[in-house]
Amino acid sequence: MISDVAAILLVEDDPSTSEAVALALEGYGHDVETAATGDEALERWRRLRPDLVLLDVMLPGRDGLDVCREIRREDRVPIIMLTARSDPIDVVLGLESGADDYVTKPFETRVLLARIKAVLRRGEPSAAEGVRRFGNVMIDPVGMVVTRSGEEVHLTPTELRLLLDLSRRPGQVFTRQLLLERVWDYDYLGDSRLVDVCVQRLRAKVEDDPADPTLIQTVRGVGYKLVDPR
Amino acid sequence: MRRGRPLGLRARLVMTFAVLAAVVALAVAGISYAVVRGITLRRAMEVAVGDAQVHLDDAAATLPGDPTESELRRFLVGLRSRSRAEVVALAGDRSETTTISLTASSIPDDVRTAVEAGRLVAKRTARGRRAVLVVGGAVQPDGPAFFFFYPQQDVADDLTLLARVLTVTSGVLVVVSAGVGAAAASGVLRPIRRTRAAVREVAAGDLDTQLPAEGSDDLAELARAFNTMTAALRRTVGDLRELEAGQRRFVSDVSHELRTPLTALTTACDVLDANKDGLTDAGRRAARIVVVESRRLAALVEDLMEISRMDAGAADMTLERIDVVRSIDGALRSRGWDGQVAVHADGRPTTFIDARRLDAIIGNLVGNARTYGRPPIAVSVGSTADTVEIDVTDAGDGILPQHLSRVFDRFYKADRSRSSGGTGLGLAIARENARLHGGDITVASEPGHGATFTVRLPRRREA
Repeated sequence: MISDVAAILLVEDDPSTSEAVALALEGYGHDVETAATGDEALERWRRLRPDLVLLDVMLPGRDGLDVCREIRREDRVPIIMLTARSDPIDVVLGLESGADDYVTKPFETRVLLARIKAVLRRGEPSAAEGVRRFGNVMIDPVGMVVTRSGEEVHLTPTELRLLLDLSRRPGQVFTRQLLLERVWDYDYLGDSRLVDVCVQRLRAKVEDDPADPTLIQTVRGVGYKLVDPR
Repeated sequence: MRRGRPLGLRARLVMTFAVLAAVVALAVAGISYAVVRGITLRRAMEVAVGDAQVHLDDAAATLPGDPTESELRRFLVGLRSRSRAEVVALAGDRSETTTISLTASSIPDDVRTAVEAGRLVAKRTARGRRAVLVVGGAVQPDGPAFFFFYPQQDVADDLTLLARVLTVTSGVLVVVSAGVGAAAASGVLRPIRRTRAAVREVAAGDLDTQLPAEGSDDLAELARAFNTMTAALRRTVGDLRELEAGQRRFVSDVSHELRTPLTALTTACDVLDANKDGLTDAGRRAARIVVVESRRLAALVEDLMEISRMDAGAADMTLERIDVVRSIDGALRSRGWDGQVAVHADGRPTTFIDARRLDAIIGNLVGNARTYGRPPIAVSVGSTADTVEIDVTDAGDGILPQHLSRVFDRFYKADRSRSSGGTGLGLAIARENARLHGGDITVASEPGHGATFTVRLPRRREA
């Protein structure tokens, strides 16, 4: 069970920013550990196993994208990227390397808190519902387990929440905005690239051929739908 | 004097060839016709005069000086079988003829006068509508006079035929020449067309366009000059791109450098704000100033970044299909302004648009109306097949005419004594946002009766 208070690893190279953000989050009861370099971040993460990682993209030495990929190789812990640039390519790269969400600097504390809360919520099991089966893919909403041809597929909480939402009504088209509201908790104007990149990551894990998806299909100009391949 | 549009090169070449051919053909045909006509008529006359002379000699030999009516008639009957001509004979007051239709009055007066004077004459004339050659002569002075009417219609018909043949041939020649002119024009125009196509490619932005420059004629010279020009353009554009890339890097670097301290500052301010109860009164007041001004500084940096990106052409656009009215409602709701602003809509237009930029536009214009105008504030949406129009109206004091044209200027303040808390870049950014979509924002105001900002955006059917 995850409470509203979490153990957070904050990876940020600027000491003032690091201290200020830690102060702010601790003010809301979170338990914050900090790291200033990529290597330090990986070391702290292995030792502390936090509930959430806040990861600055621009780090001296090993950069945030690299750290993100390294963590993803072993774990599904929620990761929020802190990006100083709003250069669109950085956001996409961050998401593709496995981040669940991103916040652009400078940010307001309440915005960061809202993103943290939304990401943590995704790890909680949903209400009791039956197991769903689509071709060789099986989804257990209560056990939070997905298998493909009998083997467990390791999904991050965001990917799992997206799959659960899409599979709740097979065949129904979900707009990107609706998925942003339901999965990411954006009430207005979320970044639709979050959805696109997450769908790509999900396809890579559950589709037989991610380049020619049969389960999660794109509806051009609108959004996505999950289709029962039977 | 200039007349209308000058003709194209092809038309001019074709016309020149045709006119030239027409002049030559007319000259050749005209001279040929004149020469042939002269020869033909002379021959016909020689034949007729020769024939008449034979019969006149015959008459001199066989007829008495004053023949009787029957002698004359017999002679004429004999003539009928020997000559093509129809004949009228005059002897004293009597006249005899080989054909009933022919009478003494058929003889032209001048011919008759000349014959009476003792001459042998020939004249081309017409009987009815048929061409005839009249040859007249007397057997001896005061003797009977004979007038031979030779039919000349065959000669006239031949000449008419000749004229027709020459006319038709000339016409064909003109048409063929025009065709040759057109073909020649194609030959000359091909390199010109190639040049035109190359110029268009350059105009469309393809600076790698080259023209083949073989030979040493004027066109090859033009091609070489063209190639030199594109090479120069490539260099200039390359330099400009490098400059632009440098500027973008600078914007990006400045953005990063400013945001890092700002992030620390704004976050620390949030902490300060949350802990203000523990401060003294003076500390609390100082903290409030720090909090407010750091937020303002963050907004200013954010706006500066945005407008620098726009200036550098580095603004990214994410076009999505958007229900305009729904987006406006969302923009108002997310700022807590719903209920304070009336939204009127004529239909529910949708268009492909960058939702974030539309949100920024609406946020800015309505925010402006709230700051500088007075309620009621209204947003109305109208649309046609290819535009969406959004009016933001307030009921404040309006904008004085001298300020109207400048409200979109950066850091322009109509009332210098008033501090709005804004960055001074809001309207400039809003207008740029509209222009990025190919639209614009305009303002109209009557002092004392509020102001209306109108956003006009083209309606896109696809991204």
